[in-house]
Amino acid sequence: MLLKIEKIEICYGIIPAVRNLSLEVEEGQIVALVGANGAGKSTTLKALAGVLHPRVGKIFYKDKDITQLSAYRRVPLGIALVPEGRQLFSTLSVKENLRLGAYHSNDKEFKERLKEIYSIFPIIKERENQIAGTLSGGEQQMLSFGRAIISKPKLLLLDEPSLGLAPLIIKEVYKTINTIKMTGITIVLVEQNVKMAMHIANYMYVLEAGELTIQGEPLKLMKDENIKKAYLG
Amino acid sequence: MYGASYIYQQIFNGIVLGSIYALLALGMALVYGILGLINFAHGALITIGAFCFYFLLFKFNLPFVLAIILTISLGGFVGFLSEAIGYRKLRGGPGLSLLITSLGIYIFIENAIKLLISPQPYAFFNPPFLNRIINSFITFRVIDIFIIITTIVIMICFGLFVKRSKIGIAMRGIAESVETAGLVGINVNQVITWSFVVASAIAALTGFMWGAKYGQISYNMGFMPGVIAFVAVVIGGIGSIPGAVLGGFLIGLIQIFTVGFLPLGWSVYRDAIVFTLLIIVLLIKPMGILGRRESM
Repeated sequence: MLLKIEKIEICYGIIPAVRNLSLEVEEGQIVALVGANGAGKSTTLKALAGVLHPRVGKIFYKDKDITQLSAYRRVPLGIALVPEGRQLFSTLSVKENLRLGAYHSNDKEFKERLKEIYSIFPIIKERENQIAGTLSGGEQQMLSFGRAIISKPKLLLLDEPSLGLAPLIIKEVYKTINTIKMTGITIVLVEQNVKMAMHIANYMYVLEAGELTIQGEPLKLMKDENIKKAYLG
Repeated sequence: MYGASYIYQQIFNGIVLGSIYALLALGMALVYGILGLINFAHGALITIGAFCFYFLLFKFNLPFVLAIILTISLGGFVGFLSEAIGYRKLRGGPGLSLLITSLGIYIFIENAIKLLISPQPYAFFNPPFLNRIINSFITFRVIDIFIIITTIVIMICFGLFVKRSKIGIAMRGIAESVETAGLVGINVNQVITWSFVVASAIAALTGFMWGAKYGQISYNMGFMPGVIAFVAVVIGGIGSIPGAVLGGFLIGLIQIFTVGFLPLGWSVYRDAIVFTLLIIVLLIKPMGILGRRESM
């Protein structure tokens, strides 16, 4: 088991956003966390990235307890986050954004990694010296992926990768997610767009008001009448 | 009214003084860009640098180059200490507590020097080669050229550092978002420490320059240059490093021109004129000359 969450509770101040949540992620899979706005999906992902720390419960990564480890220490272990809204360094160039993604590598390693990233995302190479804030939405999303992948993650956390993008671009993004999966990277995907998530995920967890309600393989869940009504319309 | 040689002489003097201000402002702008902190303690590093060099060279008779290197190192170390002891725990809290802490650190250092060394000014003798006078079209000492060249070299190195090096890029990234910097894997504490070390090391070197130029050092010598460097940062555009450098040179020129071109009695107003300029700039262009929204 690559990742294991045991009964975590995460609070904003005194208000719990996630309660008694346990889940597991097997190596090589895409696991989707879906649910309505405010269900606690992004909060869970932030706890995995180390931006938030659970008050109760434990997070194990490769059987190691990482519950209280800060975000920057998780990156070299192989956990990388593609944050919601991309959060690029908008005043820095494309290449500089990638350099910071590979902060734990030296200049030589970075050059090698850069080549690999450019071969996955040729569009980024064309924009190498452009300021990140001037890229289109789709390009920014690709750069955000690139910035995460350049750190050589084993576990990639994707927070609403389709948010605010045009339908055509969303298709592009999901193709990319598939490509990333093919390279052997395990993915935890948070998504409001349940249909998109179902197509790509190996396993799904449905969150509601901070608690886990349903889980299972997408094909099985698709047949569930309740899910159909609630999420697929 | 004034001969060409006189005018060039004044411009030259202005550039020398402006170099010192620009170096100070550069460090202040770096720290401000990353922490949003107006670091009043920056001025104290001038005093520390000046006294450190003085003792190393004249009391311990170390060679000039070694004294300079040790002065810069001590400055960097004090910067490291002030960040680790004073600021680190306060980050993420209200910006005002950082500001007050920096004032506290300034007052502490100033008084420590007053207590431990002397409340009296010291005469600062240069190594003879720095005092050699060169008379050509304009008149200057070797120390003036030393200041200008050192400033240019530091600025080029600093520019390359911030533009090209991993830590420099990380500094700009942190200036934009501390949270994002952390989650892409940057050790934010380490990078902030580096920015203090670099800024303070440069400030300590300007302490030597100030003493060598004006021939006198005292426990409170860092106060006014520190405040003026802050004015340079504001005039140039807060958050912009090139703006801060520009502001520094501008103030240096204006102060020298006040002394050189205005009637005799006016020279006492040279600091007042700087602050008047500050008010005018803030009225016309509140973001400063090169200031945009907050970015480095």
